Amino acid sequence: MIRTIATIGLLALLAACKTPPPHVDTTKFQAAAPRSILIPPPVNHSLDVDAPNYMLSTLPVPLAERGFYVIPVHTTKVVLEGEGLYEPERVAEQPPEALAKLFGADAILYVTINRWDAQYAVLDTVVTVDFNYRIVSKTGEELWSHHQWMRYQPGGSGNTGSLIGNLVAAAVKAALVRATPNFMPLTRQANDITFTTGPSSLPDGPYALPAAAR
Amino acid sequence: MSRRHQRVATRLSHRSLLAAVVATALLGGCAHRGGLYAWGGYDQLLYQAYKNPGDALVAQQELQAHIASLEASHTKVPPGLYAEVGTFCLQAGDRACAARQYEKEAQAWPESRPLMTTLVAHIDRPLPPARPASAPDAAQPSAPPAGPAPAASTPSTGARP
Repeated sequence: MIRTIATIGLLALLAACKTPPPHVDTTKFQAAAPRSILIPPPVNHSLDVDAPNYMLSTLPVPLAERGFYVIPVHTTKVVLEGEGLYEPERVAEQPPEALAKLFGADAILYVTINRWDAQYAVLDTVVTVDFNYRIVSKTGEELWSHHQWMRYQPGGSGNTGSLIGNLVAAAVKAALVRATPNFMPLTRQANDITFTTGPSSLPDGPYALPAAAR
Repeated sequence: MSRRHQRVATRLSHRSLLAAVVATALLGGCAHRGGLYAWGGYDQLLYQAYKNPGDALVAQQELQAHIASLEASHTKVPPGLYAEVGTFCLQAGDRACAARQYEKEAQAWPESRPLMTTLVAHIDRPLPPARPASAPDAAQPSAPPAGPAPAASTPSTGARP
């Protein structure tokens, strides 16, 4: 049973897996060639107070998988709190040069959460996430930025080949979303598109495997 | 197919829903397949620890077990894992454990050395009280903090103009 539901979810998620389109201009990024990236907790403009920590937990893996050394995010958070910087807004106000120096980072990834919400309806629960990503060098120069939003509308997609099947699948998915308005798969998808599969994707970091070995 | 779906729909329990959500989350993220590192559920454990601070110990123990299995098979430990275990140790009051883990991170990843060296040098510095992620005044969650900023030592920076 769990496998069935997981499969439904997987199909929805895999729909986003496509070959990457041509890259945007990453000359500045490549010139700076950062090895290590600091990720301070995201600034939150949504109404969900848990969003920044949850979002933070999804960021290191995809970036490290691109070949960068990601300064450990939980350690970063605790160190910042040790400096009296509890609010992501206050961290974002610090000069990037000073922040990079404090952590010995080559670059800083700033993330802003614009939306992180679920709108409920009977068969159709719509979950939306919306993020701004910005990478700044240790000298304060913006190297790269991207805006990504994702919407998950369980009732509106998926075809099992039969009418009843479709309705039941929609109900199951809507129930799933209602039971635990789960932003994490959507957030991971947004990160994957942003860093890896989409037109904004980053050049390889120093630990990435050579293209020939992939 | 549809009969199977109906059975699924009627048997859904809260726990199985949760399990399905977790399974979906674990399976999702196509870009992570065949990646550089074995993460041992690092992102999920971090998420759980933020969701329920009581799970920080679980995260620490699971990550420690994962690291031990990687070391036993001479597999590279992913960036940050030693240090995160160290920070969980520090938060649990075990400074010796924290220092050991920070030193291991510094050995494994040269990029981490400046921070790890600082952390080890200041390992006896008292930790500030952790602030709960969910403030009780959830009515204005995205508002800036109401009270005056904590007068703790900020990094030698000053505000941006």
